[in-house]
Amino acid sequence: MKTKVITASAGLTRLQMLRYPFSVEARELSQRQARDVETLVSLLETSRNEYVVEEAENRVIAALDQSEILTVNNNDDRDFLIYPTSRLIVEKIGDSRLKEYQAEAESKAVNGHLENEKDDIVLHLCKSAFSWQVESTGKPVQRASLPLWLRTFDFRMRFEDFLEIAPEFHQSPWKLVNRYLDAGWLPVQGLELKRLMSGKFKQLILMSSLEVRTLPARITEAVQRVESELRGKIKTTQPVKITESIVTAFPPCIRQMHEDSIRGKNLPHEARFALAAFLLKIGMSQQEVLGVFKSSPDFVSSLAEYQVRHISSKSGGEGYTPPGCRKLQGNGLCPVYQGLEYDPLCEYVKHPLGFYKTRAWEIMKGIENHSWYASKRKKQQSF
Amino acid sequence: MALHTQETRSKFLQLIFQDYYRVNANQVDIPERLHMREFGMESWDYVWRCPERRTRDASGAEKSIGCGQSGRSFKKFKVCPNCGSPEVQMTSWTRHLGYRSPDALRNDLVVSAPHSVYHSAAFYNIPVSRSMDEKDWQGAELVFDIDADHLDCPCSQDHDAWRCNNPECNEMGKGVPAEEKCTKCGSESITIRRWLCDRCLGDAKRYTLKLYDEFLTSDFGFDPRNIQLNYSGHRGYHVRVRDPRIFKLDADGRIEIVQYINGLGFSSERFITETSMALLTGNIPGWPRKLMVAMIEFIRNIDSYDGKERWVEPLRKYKTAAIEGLLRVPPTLRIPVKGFLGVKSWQEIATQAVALYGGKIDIPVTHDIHRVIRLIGSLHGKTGFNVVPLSRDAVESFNPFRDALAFTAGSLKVRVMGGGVEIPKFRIGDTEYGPYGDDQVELPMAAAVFILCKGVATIE
Ligand code: SF4
Ligand SMILES: [Zn+2]
Ligand SMILES: [Zn+2]
Ligand SMILES: [Zn+2]
Repeated sequence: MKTKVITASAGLTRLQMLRYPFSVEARELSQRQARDVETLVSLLETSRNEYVVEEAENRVIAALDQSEILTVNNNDDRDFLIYPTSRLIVEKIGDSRLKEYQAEAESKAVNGHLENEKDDIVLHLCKSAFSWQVESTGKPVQRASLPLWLRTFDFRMRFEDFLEIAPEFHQSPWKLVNRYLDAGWLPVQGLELKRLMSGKFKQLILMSSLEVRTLPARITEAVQRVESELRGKIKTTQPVKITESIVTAFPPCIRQMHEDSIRGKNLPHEARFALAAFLLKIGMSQQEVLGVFKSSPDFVSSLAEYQVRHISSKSGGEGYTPPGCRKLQGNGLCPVYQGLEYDPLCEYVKHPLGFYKTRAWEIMKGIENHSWYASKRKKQQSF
Repeated sequence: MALHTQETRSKFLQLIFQDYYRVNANQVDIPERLHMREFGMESWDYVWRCPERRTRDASGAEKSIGCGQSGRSFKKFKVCPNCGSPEVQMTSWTRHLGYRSPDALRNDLVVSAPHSVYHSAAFYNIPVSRSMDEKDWQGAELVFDIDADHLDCPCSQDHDAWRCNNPECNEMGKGVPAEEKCTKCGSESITIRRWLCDRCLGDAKRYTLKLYDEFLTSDFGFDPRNIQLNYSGHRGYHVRVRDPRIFKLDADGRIEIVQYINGLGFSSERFITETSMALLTGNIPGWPRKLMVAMIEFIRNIDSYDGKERWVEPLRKYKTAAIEGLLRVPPTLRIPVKGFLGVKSWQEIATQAVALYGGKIDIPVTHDIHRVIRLIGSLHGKTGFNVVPLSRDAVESFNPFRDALAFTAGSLKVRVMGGGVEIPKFRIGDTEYGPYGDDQVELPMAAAVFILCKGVATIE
């Protein structure tokens, strides 16, 4: 592919800028043409810019289909508007599952590009786009004097930056306790750093939101097409309906995991286990539980089936006991502990099942006043 | 205990706390960016509120419960003092407080003389807002709590006590029962009376220094100038890290830090293999650096390990040889005994050793980015002790029973209530007091305040 170096950028080629929409350079170029959402919307209105909308729509559909996101390079600066436009479409639709798919696909594409990238570009992106402190550990010959364990690491980075992303990956090598932490720095392999970078990009997409008001007809049509595609996709993965009354008795922790799962968010392993064990324990069938996990982007039906069967089958059909509040709190899965939600009952229970039983009973009896909780044992509030 | 004696005690303690703050309010720590902190206070009295609502009685006729009144009271009651409604709510907690200036905070302490005062480790744009969303979190210090509650100190079996809350049972006993359940009726609702002594506070101190020396300033490389230590005022120590680089860290990131320090999740299979042992020498950073020391310490204490793993017995038997192997350069897992432990066993041993060697940080405290932490320089309502700021070196010689006393003048006659389970002995300054049954004694003020705060004595 032909590449053209744009002088204003600090060493990134045009193609590189297109591949890394999060880079300062790419953002600068798109902002130079469209300062904000309003300007972007009005640019997209003109028929001259039709191809941008078209390519943006393709980009979203590719994400939804979990196929590869292609870099469009027409040697035209408007190419830089394709990514922001695809974000615009997704934000307009406002479906968290779609956003999750987009973030996943965009980050995968970036990861693929980074794999073949030179070290100085990687370092440049880390520093300029994410403000991460990352350093090269030198050429392999220079590392020869290091203890053997450390010689394979190409970079070292600050633990604060590492922890922005690593906790999202749940395998043991990503745990800080298994890293060679020294004076706040830890060595990382090139591939690991790239995984962290694409993870950061994913996080940026998931955390950003755009205020989108009216859209011109051209994009509205694209939005509608994506929406109907999305509906088709949801239909095939629609989870089994759990009746309303069961859900209302869920404690905040389970409700959160349940909602996330149905919305197609990838749950961390502990959450998946907690949710499955909980649902099985309150009498849901294995098939129903599987339905809850169907929409997650990394759903592999045979594996999930195996896991659910495994969880439900321990010791003579008894099943695993779902984790209690303490455990969930330690794993960052209790929204009440994190102060994100509040339910007075949580102050008096030690286990989500206890919450569920009490709340279900209250609902059955039509009890709305919760002051009777105070007669139960007090939980510690602070230290 | 009769309600009026409880009331007298609370009133008295509030008064002397007030006297203290009147003179010493300028000693309290003013947290950085004061205007961005949420404060919380626990008062000596309760705020009660009687909610009003409409409902139906058995016959289906509409009726209303509650009177909508509210007020303050030192006594705790079960029904509304105004209308007799059983749905009256009582709390001694006020949160979402904010102060724009140090003087505003000090004044409030003098006026309300609270049982306990806390502030958020977090910075908010609108700290006084009731919902987290509106508060608008801007970051938080990294805080650690090292408390004897989590250390399993053997002394708690000597000086703690419990009572079953089941009205038909009322069983009581010394120590803390297994799983914190009543040993007689199995009720989970028990009240535990925690005590403190040199021993458990010594353990807390040891772990605090370990956290500081081996983790925060070495592995994590925090600048000592950014680390604030303090005595909690009760059974432990707090550590605040004020490095702006960690302010934005989310809860997941903070859990990783705690797990690192506690040595949880260590994959020993990566470091302990037949061939890797030769490489575990020299300066390998992180846990591998501590691994050999941790394992040696673990094996040294293997006799007091209560696990039932298959490797426990052989390890006890060949303790010396195993330690010798690990002390070699490079270390080895092999000892001259045929069929001694295989690599799998060694990996399990390493995992246990690392977890035991690690710090003992209370996870929820560090990971909860909205939590409040006790104000340095304030008084702790469960002891009457001062929450004393400490430097790293001051921790070593610090003695709470001597260095955290706030009330040193005068004496007071108190009635000690040790009838059920006797009040363990305690030391204030250089004098030892107790143990007490049901006694009436005249004590120096610090000792009297201590047992009043502990709730085991009343004023006669
Ligand atoms: S307190 Fe327990 S039941 Fe309530 S949300 Fe947290 S983990 Fe769930
Ligand atoms: Zn009333
Ligand atoms: Zn009992
Ligand atoms: Zn003790």
